[in-house]
Amino acid sequence: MKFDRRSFLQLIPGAALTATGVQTSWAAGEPLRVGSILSVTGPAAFLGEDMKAGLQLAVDEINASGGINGRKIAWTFYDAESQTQKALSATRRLISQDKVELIVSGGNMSGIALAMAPMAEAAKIPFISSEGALAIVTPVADRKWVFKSTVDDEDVLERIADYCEKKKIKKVALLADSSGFGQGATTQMKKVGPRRKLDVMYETFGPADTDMMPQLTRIRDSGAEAIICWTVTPAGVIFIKQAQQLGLDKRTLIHSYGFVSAHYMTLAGNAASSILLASLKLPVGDQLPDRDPLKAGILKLFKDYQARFNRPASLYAAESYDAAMLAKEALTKVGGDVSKLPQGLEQVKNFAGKSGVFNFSPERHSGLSKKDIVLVNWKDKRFNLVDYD
Amino acid sequence: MTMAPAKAAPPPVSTSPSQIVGAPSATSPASHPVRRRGVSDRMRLLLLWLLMLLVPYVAPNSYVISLGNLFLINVILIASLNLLMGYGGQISLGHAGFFGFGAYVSGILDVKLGIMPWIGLPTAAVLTGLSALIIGIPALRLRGHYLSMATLGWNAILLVMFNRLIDLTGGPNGLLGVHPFSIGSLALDTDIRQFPLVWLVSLLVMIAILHLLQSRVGRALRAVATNEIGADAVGIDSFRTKLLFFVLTAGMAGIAGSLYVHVNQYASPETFGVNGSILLVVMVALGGSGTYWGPVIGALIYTAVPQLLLDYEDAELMLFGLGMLIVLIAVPSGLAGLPATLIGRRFGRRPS
Repeated sequence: MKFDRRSFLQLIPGAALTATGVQTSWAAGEPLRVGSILSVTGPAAFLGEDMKAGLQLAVDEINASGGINGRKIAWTFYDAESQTQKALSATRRLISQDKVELIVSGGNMSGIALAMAPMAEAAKIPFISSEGALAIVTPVADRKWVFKSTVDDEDVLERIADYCEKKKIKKVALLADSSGFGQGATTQMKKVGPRRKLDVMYETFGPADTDMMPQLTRIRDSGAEAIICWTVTPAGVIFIKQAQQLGLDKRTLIHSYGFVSAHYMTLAGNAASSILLASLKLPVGDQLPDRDPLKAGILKLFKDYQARFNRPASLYAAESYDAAMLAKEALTKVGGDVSKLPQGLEQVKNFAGKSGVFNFSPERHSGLSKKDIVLVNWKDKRFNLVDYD
Repeated sequence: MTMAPAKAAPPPVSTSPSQIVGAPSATSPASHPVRRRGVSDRMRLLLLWLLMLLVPYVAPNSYVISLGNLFLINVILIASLNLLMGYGGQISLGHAGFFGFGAYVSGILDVKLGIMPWIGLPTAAVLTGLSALIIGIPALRLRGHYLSMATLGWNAILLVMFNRLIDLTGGPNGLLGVHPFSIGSLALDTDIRQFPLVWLVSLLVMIAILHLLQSRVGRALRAVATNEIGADAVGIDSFRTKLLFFVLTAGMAGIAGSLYVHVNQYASPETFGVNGSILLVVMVALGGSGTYWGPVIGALIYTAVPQLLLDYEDAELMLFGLGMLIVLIAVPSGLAGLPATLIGRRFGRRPS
């Protein structure tokens, strides 16, 4: 176990008094202690590695430019191993032993971030989550210290509804997996569907399924004009292939932002050309019109990330990178006082990150909107912009 | 700990290769005969637990106290599994499932029905025990590894239920909004306030296990584990004995689950998977299967080692696995048997 000198001194009763006085002060020049928890092993590791790389890049960039208000970042990182219990212990360690002033990223699983949020709230330590679930930051009254840098499912579904309206599609099917990610989308669609006058039919599948013929046959017979598949698992490849076999590729097939992966598209082979993906702008950064506020930043991230890690930057790396940069932006606004970071973040307006344009407010601690979502397809071995706004 | 009892008993371990590869759990009950040293074990237990009361005072921060809470919950879990597996020779691969069942019962009663945790805790114990009764009645009639298979299946079913009964359990995102235990208006919502409760419950469970082992049914259990046909021949109903302990140990796991959910104020399915069950079995073996103090050592390793290895990130799991291999090869009777093994090596094996 790692005991620093201060915690060791507290073992001696007399020293405890002198030590407590030190903790509240934050002098310029003293490093800013930032903690992060991600899952770089276990089932969620495919996200965690990229997110960790995104944070590394952001931390090094901030430190190279002189830190935040003169304070360089001292970064503590723990692996949650895709297990909530591990993450909870690591969070306690960050808060009470490492005495971090700020937490960025929460385990790259919504379940983990959901469990961490009340702990950060109770300790009054700002927590900027790079995980998806809306419940991480709602209700805002109980989440004064918690923010997230990811898009809300509701906004993505609204964006898809916009596209359907444009294409005069009235009847859609939502084929969501049974994980937290899929269930979240089903819950949101039940709100968005009626609001946008869409006739929605719901089907589910297991993340490890290898056959979706029964669901797809029912969808085919229902006459749904568009089929939205919601998963991050390889089962999404089965969806693409079997939809083609059933001749459904003549209808509109849409995958969510969770499936925007060149690897998955390669696995789907020729059938991949028949689908659209509702994605953040990053994968098509170079095809964005020049007026887009994100374009220059995304191109720079591509270059820096490739140079540092020798692989293309992914959406996930951008999400954690943005979380760290939002902390910097907010702290700069409040003169470096971490205890005012929530107020600082709530003032952030039109901040162009890598995954989107962030707008926070005291009522809304989730920064992106449906304007950050575009529709892309997979042709010529790369993602291409199809529908910009 | 004095060396006297270890000397008095014949060295429980033979270092022949067949012993090393074989499951220690199935053989060790026979090599640990009933010892008349209950009073001293009870005194040691009280002393050890009194010593643990110092944890909140010497812990440098609340993180260390929270590890103390987790350790004591793990003691309940591993000690109960050891009772079934180490003394009874019945391997359950669903102990994490029972743990989770208790956690969700107590948590759901609190979140959905507003029933206070003090009632949730016994309810969780009883319902978890009942679920074990339902599985145990068919599975324990058979000899061999059928209980392992049945409990493995039960754990898998539970995991699906935790994930899919979203309205009740919150699904993969976990059960949110669980309340802590509270005494009047004082909510036990900090690590230091929770410690006395977890301390007390774990002490009671450890005392209960000690009494069970010294009672008639405890001796019957060891007889059944040693030789089921022989036990039947002397008039022990081996099925009932196994069933009783299966239900009791599941109930204890339910108690641990209830403590866990209200201490963490959160539960999510992946904590209670089959992997967790297997790790618990490993911890029983690592600490010393069929020894009274083994689970304490097992729980210490289970709680502390992942935390100590946290700084090594990628290497963590590998180091953990490597450590387990070394211990189980070098000291197949578990760490609690280490003194006996060392004495055996130094002085050679004495004829008994």
